[in-house]
Amino acid sequence: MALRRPAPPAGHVRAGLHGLTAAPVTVRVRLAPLLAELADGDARLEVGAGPGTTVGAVLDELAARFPAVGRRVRDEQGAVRRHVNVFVGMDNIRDLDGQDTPVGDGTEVSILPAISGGGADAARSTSISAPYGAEIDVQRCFVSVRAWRTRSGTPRGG
Amino acid sequence: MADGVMLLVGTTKGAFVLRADAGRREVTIEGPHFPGEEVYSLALDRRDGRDRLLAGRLSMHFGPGIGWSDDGGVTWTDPPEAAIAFPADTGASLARVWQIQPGGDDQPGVVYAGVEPAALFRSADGGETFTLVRGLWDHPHRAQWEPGGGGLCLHTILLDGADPAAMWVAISSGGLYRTADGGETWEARNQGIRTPFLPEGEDLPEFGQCVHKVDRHPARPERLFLQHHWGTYRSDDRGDTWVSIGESMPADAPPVGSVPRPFGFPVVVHPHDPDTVYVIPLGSDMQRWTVDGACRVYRSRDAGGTWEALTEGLPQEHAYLTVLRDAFVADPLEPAGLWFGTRTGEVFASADEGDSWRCVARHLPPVTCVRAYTA
Repeated sequence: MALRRPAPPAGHVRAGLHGLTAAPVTVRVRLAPLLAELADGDARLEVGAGPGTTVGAVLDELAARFPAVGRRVRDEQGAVRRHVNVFVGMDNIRDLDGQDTPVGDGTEVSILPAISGGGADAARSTSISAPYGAEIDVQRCFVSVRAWRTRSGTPRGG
Repeated sequence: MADGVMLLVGTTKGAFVLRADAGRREVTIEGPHFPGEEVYSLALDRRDGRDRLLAGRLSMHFGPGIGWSDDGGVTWTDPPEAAIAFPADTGASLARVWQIQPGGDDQPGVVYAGVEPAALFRSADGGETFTLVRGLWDHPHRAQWEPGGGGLCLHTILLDGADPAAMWVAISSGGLYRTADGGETWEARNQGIRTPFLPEGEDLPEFGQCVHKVDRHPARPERLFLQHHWGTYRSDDRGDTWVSIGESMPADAPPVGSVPRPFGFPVVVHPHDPDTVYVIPLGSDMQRWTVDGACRVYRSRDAGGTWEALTEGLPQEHAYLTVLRDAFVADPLEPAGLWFGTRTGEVFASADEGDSWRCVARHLPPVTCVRAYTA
């Protein structure tokens, strides 16, 4: 897979990911502004991928191309940071198969900082966000917060 | 004589630089640097022919890092590849940089970083890249260290000074550890520090103490002062043994049994007198604010034998302040100045070794650390 900007020049040859060459797909990646600043200012990128690719592979390629973005999205062990949300279409990958979530041709992957608040201690904060252009359903957010808290364990004391 | 003081102030939402004249009367505030980010550790490294500022920063969303500036904070460098990160085989991820300590003058380029989860990193290039100190990470005690209220953090790095291969680190809650071979091996140094959270008879463990801060005077590297979760201690043998020295200080309730006192976070040794030491007692771990709503700094001029409360210029009514472990520091001027920041965003300064105080900044975000240097 190779990450590239939209509308590659004519004659551009897309490299394969992990040697995959058959039936390439294009995944669109949208970055929050603070991350886009670290990606040469591009908030919209396209990733060419082979069949069967996943969110994790897209993030791998993003990190290889823009290490400053990569380490802000995932920690050094490869986990998506607690207050960063990655959406495939309208769905948070935490509600799907995480980084193993498959992505296909035309899929849009949005990487957004969560609406995190409630204290200086990040471990106490809630985590909500939604893809660009989406209206946040308040009831769904409450459900998400409850589920997120369950996944995150007990907030620690300060 | 120095022209004044430069005070680096870290907060939960950025870093600030306070500049004061030699009388510490005229104080200006610059910043914020890293607006919106936690800054738990700051340092100025004046070796290697430059003034390098180092900052341990943490974005709630995008994680931790170390940035540096060689132009007084006008521009900061935070490289694309993380300057500090745990190796893959550790399975650990950096949560926060709690302490940045430049090495001695005989160690050019060496900078140490204490982090959460509790680990020590070493840089040989002025803080641009760090390597995990495996000797401590692989210590057999590590699996039994438990996080304190702030997390499982290595928050204190003390260089021996006399011996470049020797240093101490303090971990909450793991205790104090010392190396004499440059970090290859480490030994716990907590004998005599009581842990009331363990059953009677088992409350003097080899390790596991919730050490909050340790300080010592360069002229007497064998003497250490330590603020524990329960009590203030002194060692006169490089940490081999400890004695409680804080029983005469206040707490929110009469002493219960053998529980040492006081609770508090920082301990500061006078920069020119190894017998003079300062602490700021807090009510208890249940309150974590200044006792009875009165802000008092306690000073001992006889290495903890007796203590006096310093109150002139400090609020004595309805002052429920918290001073964190790195938010109290002495400046190197003569006479020595003292500075502390609070979780309610004030910075207090004394230009006369603590005899009198003045609030020199207020309405800052909660202060996490202060560091003082000659301007």
